[in-house]
Amino acid sequence: MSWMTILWSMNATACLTLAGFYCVVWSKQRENSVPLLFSCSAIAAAAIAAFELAMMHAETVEQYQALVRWIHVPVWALIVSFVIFVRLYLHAGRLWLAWSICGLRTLVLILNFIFTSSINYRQITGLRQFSWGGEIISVPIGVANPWGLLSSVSLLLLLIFFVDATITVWRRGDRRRALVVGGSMILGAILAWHVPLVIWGIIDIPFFLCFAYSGIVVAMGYELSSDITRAAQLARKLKASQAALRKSEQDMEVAALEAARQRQELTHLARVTSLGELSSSLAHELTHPLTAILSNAQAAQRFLANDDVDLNELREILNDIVAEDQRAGEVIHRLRSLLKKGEPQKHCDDVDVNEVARDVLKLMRNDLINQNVTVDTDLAQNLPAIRADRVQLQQVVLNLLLNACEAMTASDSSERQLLITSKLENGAVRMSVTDRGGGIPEEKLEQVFERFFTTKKEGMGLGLSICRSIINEHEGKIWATKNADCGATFHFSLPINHVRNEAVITE
Amino acid sequence: MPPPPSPTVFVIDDDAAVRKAVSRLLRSAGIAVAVFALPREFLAQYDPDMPGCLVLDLAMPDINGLQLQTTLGKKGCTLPIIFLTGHGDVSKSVQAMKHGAFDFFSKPVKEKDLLPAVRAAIERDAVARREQAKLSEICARLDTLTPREREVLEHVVAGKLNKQIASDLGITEATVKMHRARVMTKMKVQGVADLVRLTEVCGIRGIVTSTPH
Repeated sequence: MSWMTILWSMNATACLTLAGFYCVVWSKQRENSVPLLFSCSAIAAAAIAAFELAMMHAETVEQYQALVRWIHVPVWALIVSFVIFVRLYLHAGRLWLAWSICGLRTLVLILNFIFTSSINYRQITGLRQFSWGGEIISVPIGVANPWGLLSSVSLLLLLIFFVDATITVWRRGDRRRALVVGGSMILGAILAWHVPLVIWGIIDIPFFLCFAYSGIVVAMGYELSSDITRAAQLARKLKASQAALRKSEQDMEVAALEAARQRQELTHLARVTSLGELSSSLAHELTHPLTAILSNAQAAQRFLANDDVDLNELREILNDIVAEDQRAGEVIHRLRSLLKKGEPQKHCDDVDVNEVARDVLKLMRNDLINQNVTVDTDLAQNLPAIRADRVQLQQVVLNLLLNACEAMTASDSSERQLLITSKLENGAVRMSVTDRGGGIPEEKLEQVFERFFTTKKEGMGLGLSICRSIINEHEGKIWATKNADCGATFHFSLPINHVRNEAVITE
Repeated sequence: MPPPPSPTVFVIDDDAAVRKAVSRLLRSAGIAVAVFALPREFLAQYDPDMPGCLVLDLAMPDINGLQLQTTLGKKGCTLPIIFLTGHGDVSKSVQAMKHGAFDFFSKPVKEKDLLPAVRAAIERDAVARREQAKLSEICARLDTLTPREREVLEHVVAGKLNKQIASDLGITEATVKMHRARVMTKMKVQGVADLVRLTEVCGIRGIVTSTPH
């Protein structure tokens, strides 16, 4: 076996291997027809190599003639595959050229089978055998068929088509692909011109069309494989970016939790600060029941010292002591719940806003007395309960009341009146605190809720901003309006059917 | 003369439980008590002839304890006031004491503090009322004197002799003697010493500068 046989056989084998590989690729992703197209061209190239090898070793004229006739089938398949490949894969090449080439090649194929010999030879008269590349090979001697020009024209068109497509791809900026695929195609199309030259008897070499075309096939295969590599790289990158995304999502969750915790801390701090303003009032709230308890107990001791003990009186005294003890306990309980650091969003309850207002008024009672502030309430009966954090709502009301009192310190003591109203409005419970203080200028009605906005000397400017964040968390609204005569009114409204997600957390 | 009404402690506190407990403690010590939720209620039924004292909460709505103290002062009320306060408010306690508060306790007040203070206050009120009654009696006696008798009285308590008085007033010694006897009778006194004591209570001083010795 000479190296020529080895070379052509290897060519065919390589093409078939590539074809088989891409057939598998195509079977895995059928929606992409490019690998299939590539496989077709590779099989055609392998067939051409086989035909050429057979032609080299042809013994008789008839054999040769048959081979020349049938080689047109894989050539047709190859050229049509190339054209479609260029259109589908490179997205280049003129459509009319593509159609012309395919049409012309089909015509050539048909004519090839119509003529008695083939489209290349009118008749092959004999075979000339000579040694080439260390092997005896056969080349035909005969009369060229003038219709063979059609085949040459198709080759020319193919070359033009390839050049045009390559330029398009190059201009698109895909230079590597233009060089590898386009370049190999142009080279292949040029090399294919040896066929007419051999047929016309201008040069004397064996046909090596298979090498011209398998070069293209290899370039195409290389390009497709680099696509696969790129896809794998992309998949890796995607995976990495997904992991990064997941991590950043986790980071964001952690950050959100941290932010919620800090907001909670700040809310708690503000609450403790507000309570600090009330501390004397709160102490007073405790001294009342303690005074009553002590006086009652000492009265009982004195009554017992007498011979004639009135048991009814004693029973009443003990009842009063128990009641006052409970009262002191409630004060402490209220205070403790306000001082407690709440877990973020865990204390959703069915809350009656009227009760919240009354609780806060109880806490502030002594403060209001000391400041000569009188409080009127106009609370709607039978308000529906809302899902809310009771302590946070108390904080909001406390803040609004403290601010209202603060706003009236400069007013005449007969003018220091507060009005608290509640009502049901558009599916929400609305509570308003009206003062008769200095009021707020129109342009600052919104600004007062901003963080660090304050008109007080010692104020941090956090109270109202925290009120707003609490109300927002409850999906409600808080706003301020100017009163017609004097002072300002602060309102907040909370939707009644609002169910916070956290409400489902079971304790 | 009708017997004087028994002394009553007026407890004014807006906290019902405290009011009740403090009044109970006072009753257990055998002291009569009247309770009021608001200063206004007390003022509405205030009778200056009722003896006793006030136990007053400092911080109350409407009129606070200090304001009531001032109002009562303007009305000439002499009832001693014992203040109770929820927390030791120094400036307010100073103000209350300056305005003549009898005592000042912070709540919760102990029996051993409150009861003696209340008893002392009642006693002071009683003394004051006795003094007042005596004063009124003397003033009433003084009012029965004629202007001339009054002049003679002023000279007598200044320690002047009848002769000096006669010369000062430009009347005879006999007339002086007559006026003097009538003054003694009207003022229900035996001698000059008693007369001096009585008039001192009323703040009448003898006229000493009219004639040099």
